[in-house]
Amino acid sequence: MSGAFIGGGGGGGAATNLPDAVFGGSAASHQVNTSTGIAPVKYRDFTDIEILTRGFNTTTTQYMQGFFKVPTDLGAGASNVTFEIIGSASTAAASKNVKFTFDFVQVAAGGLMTGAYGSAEVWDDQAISAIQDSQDIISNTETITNLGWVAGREIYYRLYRSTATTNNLGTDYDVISFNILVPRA
Amino acid sequence: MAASLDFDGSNDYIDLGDLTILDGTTEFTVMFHSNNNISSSGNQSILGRSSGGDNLGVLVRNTPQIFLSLNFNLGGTAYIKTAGLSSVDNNWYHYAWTWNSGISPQLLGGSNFYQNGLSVSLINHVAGGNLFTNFQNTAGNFQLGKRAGSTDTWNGQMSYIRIYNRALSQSEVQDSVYKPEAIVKGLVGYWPLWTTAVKDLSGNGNDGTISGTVVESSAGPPVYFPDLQTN
Repeated sequence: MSGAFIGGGGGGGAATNLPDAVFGGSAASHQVNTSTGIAPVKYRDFTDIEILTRGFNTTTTQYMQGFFKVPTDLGAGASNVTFEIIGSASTAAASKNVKFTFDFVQVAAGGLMTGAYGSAEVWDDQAISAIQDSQDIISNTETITNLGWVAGREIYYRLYRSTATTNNLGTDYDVISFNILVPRA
Repeated sequence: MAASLDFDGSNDYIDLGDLTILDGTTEFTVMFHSNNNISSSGNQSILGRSSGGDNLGVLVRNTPQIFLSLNFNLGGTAYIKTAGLSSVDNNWYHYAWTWNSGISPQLLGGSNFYQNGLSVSLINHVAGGNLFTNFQNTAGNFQLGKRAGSTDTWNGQMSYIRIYNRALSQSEVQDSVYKPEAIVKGLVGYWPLWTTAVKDLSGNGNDGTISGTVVESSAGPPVYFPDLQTN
């Protein structure tokens, strides 16, 4: 079940709630869709830290994809799902932004798998570090109600980069991991 | 910081030295991802080695046609080629050539060639003759981007070169198309080509040396590494 991993998450929600369920994981472990552009697996060498990333450019639309099952103990509708992109500009530059879009299809048990991607979350003009080899954590939230996620259903998703509205980073943006933190009741 | 290495088709190649990992073996598999830019005319060798003739080689022509050559110093040229292979310039493909000496006729019968995991028909150019039953050592170095002893430099991008000392099954090849590290049994050489350091990650230490201006590229094939997790 590549690209979909359940682990103990960070603290979201009240102290009496269970920790968030964390899905996603390493960008290089995310699957590819061969009928679309693919963000290639790319090696980065940060001195002692050597890691595989996926390099997203903005000249073509490049995707990575994954899937997970919404926890059966899904949190209340007003609670937030957190989307976290951890990455680093291939070549850092001052005052640059990136834009990412998260599409998904929700499938009920036994349901059709033929639905089209929709319900996009768009994160435009996300500021990134101007320092070479710095790590960015691009974090955004959305309520469960707005996402429309239902406990026990499968979410098939894809993430892609496009041109930011202002001050777009013109070089690759290398995604190290993409994490989806889902609150539980 | 790369997803592949780029060869200019002029004078670029990588020398892996006297690669002895296949010497004496009766089977092998060579597989790789390549993005061929074969608008240049003439023969272009993706990889191989030669010594008084082809010892092992995979080359493309601008038709495009892919030739596979195995020669056991018979004093002639024995090779097989793909039949009806269709490919498009500037697209990534996974290629795998498996060989098992125990199947007759030795060169053609023992060879299977796959494009993106699908079997490609092969035809003999020259009948096999008195082929040896195992892979012979030669003095020729193993090279990427051309064959030692030839001038057939290759134009394109390449990554995830893997050599096994056994003939993988088609299902194993298919597992490897999108997962470069899916099969480890018999893996004796593994060059992801993530950097110009050309490290051999198989543990056998056959790191490569670059000639020409091989450069790192941010373009790469559609692969993933399912065992990586970070949470």
